[in-house]
Amino acid sequence: MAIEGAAARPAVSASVGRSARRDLLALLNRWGWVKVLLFLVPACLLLTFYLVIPIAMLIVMSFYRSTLFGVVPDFSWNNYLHFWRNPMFPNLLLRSIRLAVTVTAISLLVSYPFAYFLARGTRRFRTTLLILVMVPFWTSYLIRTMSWLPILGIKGVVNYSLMTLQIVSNPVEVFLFNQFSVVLTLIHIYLPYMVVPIYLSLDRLDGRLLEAASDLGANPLRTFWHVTLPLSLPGVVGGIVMVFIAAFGAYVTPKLLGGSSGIMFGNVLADQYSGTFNWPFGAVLALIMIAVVLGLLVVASRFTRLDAVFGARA
Amino acid sequence: MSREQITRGRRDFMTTLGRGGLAASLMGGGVLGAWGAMNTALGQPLPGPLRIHGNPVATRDKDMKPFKQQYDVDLQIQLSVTHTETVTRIYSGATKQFDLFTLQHPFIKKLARDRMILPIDESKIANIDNLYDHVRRPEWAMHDGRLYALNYLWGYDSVVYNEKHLPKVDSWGVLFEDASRGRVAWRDDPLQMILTAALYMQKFRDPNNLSETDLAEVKKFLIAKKKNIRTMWTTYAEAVNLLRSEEVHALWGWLPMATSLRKEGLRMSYAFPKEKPIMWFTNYIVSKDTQVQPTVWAFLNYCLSDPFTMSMTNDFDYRMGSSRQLTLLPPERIKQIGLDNIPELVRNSYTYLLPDRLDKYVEAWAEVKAAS
Amino acid sequence: MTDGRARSFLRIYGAAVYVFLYTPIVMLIVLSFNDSNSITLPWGGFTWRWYRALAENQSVFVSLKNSLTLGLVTAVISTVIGGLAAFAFRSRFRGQVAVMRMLLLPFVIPGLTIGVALLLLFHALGVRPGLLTTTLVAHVGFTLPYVFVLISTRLHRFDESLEEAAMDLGADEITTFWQVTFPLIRPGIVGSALFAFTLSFDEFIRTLFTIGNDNTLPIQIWSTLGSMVSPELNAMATLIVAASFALVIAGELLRGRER
Repeated sequence: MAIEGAAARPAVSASVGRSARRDLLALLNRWGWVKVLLFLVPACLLLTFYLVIPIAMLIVMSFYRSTLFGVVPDFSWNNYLHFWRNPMFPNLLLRSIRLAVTVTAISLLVSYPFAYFLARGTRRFRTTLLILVMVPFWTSYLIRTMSWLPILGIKGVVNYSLMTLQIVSNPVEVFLFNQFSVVLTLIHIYLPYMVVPIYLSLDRLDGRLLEAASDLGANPLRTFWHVTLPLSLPGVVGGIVMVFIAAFGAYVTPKLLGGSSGIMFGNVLADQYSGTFNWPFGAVLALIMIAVVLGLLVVASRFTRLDAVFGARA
Repeated sequence: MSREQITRGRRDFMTTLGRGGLAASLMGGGVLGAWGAMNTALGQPLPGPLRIHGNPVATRDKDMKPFKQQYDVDLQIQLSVTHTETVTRIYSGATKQFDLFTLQHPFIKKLARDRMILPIDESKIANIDNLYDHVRRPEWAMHDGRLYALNYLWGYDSVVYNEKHLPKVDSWGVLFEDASRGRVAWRDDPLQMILTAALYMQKFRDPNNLSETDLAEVKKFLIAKKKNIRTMWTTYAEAVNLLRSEEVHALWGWLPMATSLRKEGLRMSYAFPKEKPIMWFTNYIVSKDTQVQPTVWAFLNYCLSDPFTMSMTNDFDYRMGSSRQLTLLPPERIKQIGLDNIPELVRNSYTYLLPDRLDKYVEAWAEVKAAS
Repeated sequence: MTDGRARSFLRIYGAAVYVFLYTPIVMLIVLSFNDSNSITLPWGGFTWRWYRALAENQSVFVSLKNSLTLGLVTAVISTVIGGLAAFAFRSRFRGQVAVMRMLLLPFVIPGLTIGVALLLLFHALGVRPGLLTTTLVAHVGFTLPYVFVLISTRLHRFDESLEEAAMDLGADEITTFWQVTFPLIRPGIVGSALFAFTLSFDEFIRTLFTIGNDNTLPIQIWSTLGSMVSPELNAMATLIVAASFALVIAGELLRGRER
C-alpha cells in the first residue's frame, strides 16, 4: 500500500490503521489458539460465576447439616444417604426421566414438520412466521398456563363443544389435572425449543441439493431420509437436548396442571428451598439432576459425536 | 445536579408511566423534632424513598397513593412471593435493600433473636393502640419484652364452599370424605394440609409438632383420601378459578376468595370448622439496616389508620390490624366478617407455627403427592 | 406425493400448529374482556373495565419496562458472548470437547438452585443486587447455552469456500466476516437473540433471588396472582400480544416497501 505524501494526513493514518489491522490479523493467524482463547474468554468468565462457583458451592453445601432455619457446616454423607433411604426420591427421578422422554419424543414429531414448513414452505414471510412462534411466550407463563383451565376443564371449551355436538353426554374430566394436561402443556411451552434449532439448520439447506437428489432418481422419502434429515441433525440434536433438559427439570407445570399427583423430581428439589431451608439436601438433589443429564449426554455422544454436531472440527 | 436538570429530569420521569415523581424529600436524616408524622393533618415531608418488600394486596397503588401524597415520599415496593424466599433473602443481605418486610408470624421470633430486625418503636406510632388486643403484644412477636412485628392483617383459613351444591359445612371433613368424590380441592402446601388433616383427625396432642409416628399416620390418611380430590391449588387465582368454573364445590381456602365470588352473585360461604380453623397473622417487620426510621413509623402508623383499614375491609372483607373496624362498620358487616366475638374466635382457632422438623413435613407431603 | 400436495399439506399442518400455539392466547384475550372477577369462564358479559384498571396500575408498567430492558440487554450480551464461543469452535483446539460440555452445562442447573447460589455468592462478595447487575448475570448465564446451541447449528459444516474465495480476492478476515460470513449466519444470530429475549422476558425463579428492589413482570404477576385475582393482568398480556403483532406487521410493511 503506497504511502502518499506527508500532506495527505488522513490517508496516512488510514493506511497506518489498515496496516495495523493487517498486522493484528496476521498475528492472530499465526497464533490461532490466541484467537480461540479470545473468543472463549467472555463465555468462560461469565460461566465462572454462573457455573463453576455455584457448582463448587453445591458440592460443599451437600455435606453440610441443615437445621430448621439454616445450615451448619459439617462433613457428612447423610444427605446423600437420605436420597436412597426414601424410595420416593429415586422413583420420582425415574418418573421425571420418563416424562421428559415422552415430551421430547412427541415434541420432535410435532415440531419437525412445522420447522420444515417454516424453513422451506414459505419464502416471503419467514422471519415474521418465526417471530409469531415466539409471541405467545411473551405473555406470562402463569397467565398462559391458567388459560388452559377454561379450555380443558369440565365447563371448558372442549367439553362444551363435545357436549353440544352430542359426542358425550357428561363432561369429560380426563382432559385436565393429570399426566395428559401436563404433557400437553409442556409440549406447548417447549415448542420453540425444538422448532427454532431445527428451523435454523433446515434453513441452511441448499435447495439445489434436494433438486440434485431428485434428479438422480430419489423419491421424496429417500431424499428426506438421506439428505434432509442428516443435514438437519445439529438442529434435531440441539432441540432434543434443550427440550429434554427443560422437561426433566420442570416443576411448576406439573404443580399447576398435574392434579393430585402433580409432582416431579424438580418439585422435591424446589421444596428444599421454598418449603423449608434444607439447602444441603437440595444441593444433593441438584447434583443428582446434573449428574443424570451429564450421564445422558455422555451416552448420547457414544452414538453421535456431539461436539462435531455442534461444529467442532473432527 | 443543577436545578434545571432536576426540573427536566422530573418532567421526563413524570411523562413515563413510572412510579410517582422524584422524591422531593430526599433530605437525608430528617429528624423532624416535633413528630409531624404523628400529626396527620400536618403531613410534613419525610426522608425517602421507603423500600418495602410487600404483599400485593396491602400495597395496591390506590392505597399507597394517599400516604405518598401526604408525606411527599417515594415508595418502592417489591412484591414478595413466599415467606421462605423472604427469610432467605433477609439472611443474605436484603436488610440493606429494604426498610420493611411483610412476613407471617412463625418467622418473627427467630429474626428478632438473630437481630435482623428492629423492635417497633411504639412511641412513634400514634395509632398503635388501635391494634386489636390479641395482636397488640402477641407471644409470637415478643422478644426480650419488646414488640418486633406490627400486625396489619389477620384471619383464619378454612373451607370455601358453594352453597348451591353443598349444605352447610362446619367441618374440615368435607375435604376428605368420600361423599365429596372429586369435587373438592386441597391447597398444595405441606404445612397447612398436614395440619388440617391432623386437626380433623382430632387425636394429636400437638398438631403443630407431630412426632414421626404421628406424621406417618397423617400421611397415610392423606394418601388414602387423595382419590377424593380433583386437584390442588398453588395460587389464589387458581382457587377462585376452580370455584367459579364449578370445577370444584369446596376447597381449602381464604375468606377473600369467598368475598370476591359473592360479589359476582355466587352463593359462596366460608366455613368455621368445629375442629378449629387455622389462624395466621401477617405483619410488617423493620429491617435492621433501615436509614429512614421516621418514614417507617409513619408508614406503620398509616397501616393502622382509618382510610387504609376501611379500604381493605370494603374491598376484601379482611380482618385488619386496627380495631377501629368495630367502630366504623355497621353491625351486620361486623357479623359477616366474623368480628363480633373476637376472644371466642381466637379461642376456637388454631394458630399455626413451624414444626421443629419442617423438612419431615415437606417430605411427607411430597410422598402424599407422589403416591398414585 | 406431488410437490403441490406436499406443499398444501405442510401449509395446513403449519396452520394447525399455530392454532395449537395460540389456543391459550386466544383464551386469555377473550378473558380480558370478561366481566367477571375470576379469570375463567363462564362468560359474564363484555367489558373494558380491566383495561381501565390496568391504565391506573402504574406498577405493572414499571415492571414491564424492567422486563423489556433486562430482556433486550440480556439478548444482546448473550448473543455476542455465545456467538463468539460458537465461532471459537470452528477451529480445532485441545480440550474442545470439555469446553463444549462446560458451555452446555448451565442447561442442567435448576433455576432455583442457581438463584440461591448466586444470591449467596453475591452476598459473600458484597455485591449489591440490581436489575442490570446481578440479575443480568443470572439471565445471561441462563440464556448462554441456548444461544450457543442455536448459533452452532447455523455454523455447522459451514461452507468455507465462500470465505476462502473472498480472501483470495484480497479481503482480510474482518471484511470477509462482515461482507460474507455474517449475512449468511444472520438469521441464526437474529433467531438466537430473539430466543434469548423470550427466555429472559418470562424468566421468574432466577430473577426472584438475584434481583434488588425492582419487580419484573413475572415477579409481579406471580406475586399478584398468589394473593388476589387480577384480570387486568390478562389485559396486560393481551396488550403485549397486540403490540407484538403491531410490530411484526410494521416490520413486514417496511420490508415490503424496501423491495
